[in-house]
Amino acid sequence: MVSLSDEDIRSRSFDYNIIKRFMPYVMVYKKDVLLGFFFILLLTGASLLIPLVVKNLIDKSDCLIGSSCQDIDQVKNSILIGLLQFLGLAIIVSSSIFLSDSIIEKVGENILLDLRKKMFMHLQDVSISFMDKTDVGRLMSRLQGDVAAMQEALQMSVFAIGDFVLICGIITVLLSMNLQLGILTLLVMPLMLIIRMFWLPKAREAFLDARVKSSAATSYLAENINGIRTIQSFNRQQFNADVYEKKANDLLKAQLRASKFSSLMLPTVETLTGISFAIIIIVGANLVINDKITAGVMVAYMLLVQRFFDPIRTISMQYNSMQRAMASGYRIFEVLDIPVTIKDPKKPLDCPLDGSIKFENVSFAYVERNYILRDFNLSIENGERIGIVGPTGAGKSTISNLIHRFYDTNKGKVILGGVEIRKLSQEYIGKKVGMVLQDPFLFSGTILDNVKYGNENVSLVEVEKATEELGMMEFIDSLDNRFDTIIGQRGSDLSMGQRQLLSILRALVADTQYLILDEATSSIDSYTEKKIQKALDVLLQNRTSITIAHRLATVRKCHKIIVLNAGSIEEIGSHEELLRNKGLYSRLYDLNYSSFDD
Amino acid sequence: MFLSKNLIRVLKVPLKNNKRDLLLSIISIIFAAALQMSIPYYLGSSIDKALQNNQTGDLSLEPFIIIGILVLSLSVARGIFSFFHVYQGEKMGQILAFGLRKDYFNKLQRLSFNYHDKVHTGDLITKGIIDIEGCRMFINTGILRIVFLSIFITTGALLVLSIDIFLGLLALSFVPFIAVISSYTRLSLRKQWYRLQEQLGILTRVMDENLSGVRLVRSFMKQKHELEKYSLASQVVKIMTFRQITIRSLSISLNTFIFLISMSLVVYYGAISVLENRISLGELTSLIAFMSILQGPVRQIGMLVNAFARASATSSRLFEVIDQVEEVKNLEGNKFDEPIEKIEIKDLCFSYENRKVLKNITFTATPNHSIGIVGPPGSGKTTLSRLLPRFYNPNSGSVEINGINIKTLDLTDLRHSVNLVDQDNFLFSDTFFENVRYGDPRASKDLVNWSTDKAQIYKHIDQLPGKFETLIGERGVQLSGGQRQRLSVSRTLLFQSKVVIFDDSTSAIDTQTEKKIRDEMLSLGTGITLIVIAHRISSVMNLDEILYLEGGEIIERGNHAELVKKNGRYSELYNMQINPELKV
Repeated sequence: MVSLSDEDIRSRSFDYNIIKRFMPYVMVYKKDVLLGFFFILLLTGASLLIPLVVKNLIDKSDCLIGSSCQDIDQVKNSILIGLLQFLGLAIIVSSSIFLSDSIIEKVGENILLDLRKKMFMHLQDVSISFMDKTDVGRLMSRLQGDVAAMQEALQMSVFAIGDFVLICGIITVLLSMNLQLGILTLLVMPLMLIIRMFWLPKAREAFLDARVKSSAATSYLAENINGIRTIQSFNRQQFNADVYEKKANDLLKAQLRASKFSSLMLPTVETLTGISFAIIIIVGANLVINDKITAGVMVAYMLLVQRFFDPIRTISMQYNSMQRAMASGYRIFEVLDIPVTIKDPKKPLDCPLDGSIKFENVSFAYVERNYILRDFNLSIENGERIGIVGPTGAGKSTISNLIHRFYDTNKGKVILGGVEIRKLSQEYIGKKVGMVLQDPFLFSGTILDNVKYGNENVSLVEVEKATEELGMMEFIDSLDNRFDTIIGQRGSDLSMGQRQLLSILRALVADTQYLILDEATSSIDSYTEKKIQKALDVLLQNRTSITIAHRLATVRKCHKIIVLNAGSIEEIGSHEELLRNKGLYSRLYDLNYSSFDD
Repeated sequence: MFLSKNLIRVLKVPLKNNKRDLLLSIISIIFAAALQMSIPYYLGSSIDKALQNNQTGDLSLEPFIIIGILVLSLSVARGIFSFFHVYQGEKMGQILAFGLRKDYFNKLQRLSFNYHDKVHTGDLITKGIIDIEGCRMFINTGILRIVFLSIFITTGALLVLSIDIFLGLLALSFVPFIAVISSYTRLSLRKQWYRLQEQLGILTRVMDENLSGVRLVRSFMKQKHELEKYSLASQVVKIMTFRQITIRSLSISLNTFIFLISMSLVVYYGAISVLENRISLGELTSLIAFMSILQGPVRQIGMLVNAFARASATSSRLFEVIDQVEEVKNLEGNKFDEPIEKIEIKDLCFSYENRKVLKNITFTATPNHSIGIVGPPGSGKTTLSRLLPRFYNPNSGSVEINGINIKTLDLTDLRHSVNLVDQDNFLFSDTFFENVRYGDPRASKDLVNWSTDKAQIYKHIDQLPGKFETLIGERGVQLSGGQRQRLSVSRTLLFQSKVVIFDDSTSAIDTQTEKKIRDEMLSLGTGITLIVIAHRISSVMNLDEILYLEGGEIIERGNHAELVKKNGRYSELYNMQINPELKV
């Protein structure tokens, strides 16, 4: 079975396969990416030209001291030309900053959204069996954190290419102005690289540790918010606060250690810059004195030398974010690679269904070889009301899962209304088969939004009619804004029973040909359930329905009751017939108020 | 207002508790700024000296070696001070984050149910991560940068103005422009940041609900609809993010432009001035070097602006939680550890917002007089169960234990005495062992064995490969509803409360096991008072008194036999459960 790997996978900083798979998402924005590159190059070029313009201006102004002086007005004119050049470069630099930044960041954002949408869409199609055993939090962290890490790495690598070009540009300019001074000045560069080589592995370890500690503190916080009611019941506030404080303290220490490493780079860079300055001052002055270079060149060196450490730093940090992105990419593509096991047929049938359900020799196992159903046969006629009871693990919910094709059978066929369900589209099945699930999930939004979830086009009058029929009007009327009342987080302000009522209402409003009630009334008291049963008597009349329950009273009114045990039908018949049978059903019934629990 | 009230509050934390760190970082900032400022001066003077020697033909390298070594030592010193400046800044930010985390966590732990009922847990978690991060960044990249920048600009201003007033003013001319543009950006970014966060919350909710409610989505085959919901939320996020990107890059670009304009003017007029011999070439070099040193911090103004906008938004969101008034306040000191003789509920009324849930509830439970409560959904049973351990305060009426109003009791003692086994039995992602002894983290293995045995779950846990050390939840084993319930019963047993309230918390346990558990509890011999809320008649029929709740009122009371005889609601319910054929 497919499952997601652990979160803490370590990855190489460069994984060709992941890059290869990521590229198509980038290529969608090929033009923008190229445009972004263009402006980065323009920005780099123009910023490199500025010190050269400054150098020319200085050399011009220096002419009185030097020997090559022409007439003053001409010099002033050429200084003015220098100013215009400078202004031109200023315009180019600042507009390319705007263009490159906004284009590249927008492309990054677009790719993030595309990737996330693709994942989200894919998760809509992957099988329920995968979703059942996968924690939502883990999927969410892939949809959010991992996608963001990819985006960051992408943006950084585009800018890193700009940085690389900048370094090359600076080296070229420095060497071309004066080879000797250039080489001497650049001596610090290998020094920087060597220091980084020693620094990086340790720093990386410290950064990773900080991240691990951070996620430990966060998940503890999250759990304590979710479990707050239990925590307060058991007076654990202080104890948990102490645990959290320890985690927060670990995080603090780890982060301080990490920032010590990152701050250590500062004195290093300053010292190296100082060395370069000292070289320029000593060697450069010597060259100026000997008329080998002009003072302007010396100034240009001073301006340029300050600029090559930043790009080296960003580029070497790139390694970290790339490594993180590769791990993220791995997790993202893992989600996208979850196979969609249940697929619609190429040409789905959309013929009307005759209202029957048949299971023909169905065998099914969630986990290999651990069969829940084995050669299971069942035939339900149009308009029949079927009850299924049995102990936990008997396979009751499996039957409803198979009818809706949440899972495919291992063997045998499920035939819905005369058509094998594999020949129908899942959407069509959804339109025909309504379900009320054990867990009455509610979305945030109004009551009405939730009730209309299965059928958007229904009018308020129709909703009210169904509410009336279910005897729920009193409940709706008791709410502040009736149907427009906003439901708190997943209905936490409603009782479980109220949530189940709403979920039955939702299924009735969806008005489907088939209806499956899977433990739909387990949290409703018998009194209300009785009322609902009475309503269902009418509402289920023209539908084929299956009621799954552990309470015997819930299925009492069904035309046929199936007693399921260990994946096979133990007894079948109406309530009266089963009582006469003196089998499992009647034994449980004799114990009164009975259910098949646990 | 440059600094909002909340930002000042954020600042107060490091100001109060880390005076030494603050002092150290301010000193480092001053030295780092001043040292950095002095470097352009020596660069300029080396140029002048070189030109002078070029004129005079003096070939000696000595003065340059001295200047070179001086610049190098200044750089090293500056590097060391920068290290302290940045590290101390980071440290203060981290310490602030640590403090905020602690306050935030403690507050959430203590806020009463009515707060947690209203807020989305996802929002609370986000605040705990993103908003604290925003405040932390503010200390380092925000406030300390400002100090650095102002010292830097002031000393720089003195230096450049001493070279030449006009050129000095030109060199500084970009600063006010950038200040104005930045403040403008700050205001618009702040507003947008807030809205973006809200929108991101919506997007998260859409995804989270879609994944958590996957069965519902699939059963109605609403994937298309879900995708539309997602796309809509995502589209809004995109538009907002794009707007932010545009504003941010526009601001950076405009700042750079203004800077370059003033630099070009400095170079131009500087060159003219050198030409006309009003300043030396070295002085012009110092000016240019100063400006190019300033270029970095200027670019960071954009970042600083963002840090401000972010922190004012995040701090107000954070303090909104930290400042929440706890509805259920603990009056500490009123210790309570006497044996419980009776628990009296007198005229209890309660409403959520405007919805009346409980009306004049009165009853008494004692160790020899257990109470059962039944009634339709929404009749107020759960609310009642939550009022007894004082998770909410009643609007009127009281709960009294041994004649003392629980409002005046120490909350810890109260909740130790009165334990609620809730419908939503939350289990933590920890081992079985730790979950069972959740209420008493120091409980012995024997006690854990004992309580799981009494709750009829020992055998099941003991069969697991990891036994009691098996992890529950995420990557651990899945439990059935009945198993979860029995586990939470064992948790309560171990807690050894004198009053135990079961709020429909044994519904998935079969009737016989349920009875066994209840008998075990009553026979513990320590005078346990039971209050049982249930849907199943069998869960309450053997108790001393049964209350039938409807519409927030007790409409019938008595023991099982009396109530059945009464032929009222209870007997209807009873008949329905044993004999569903009877008409309602």
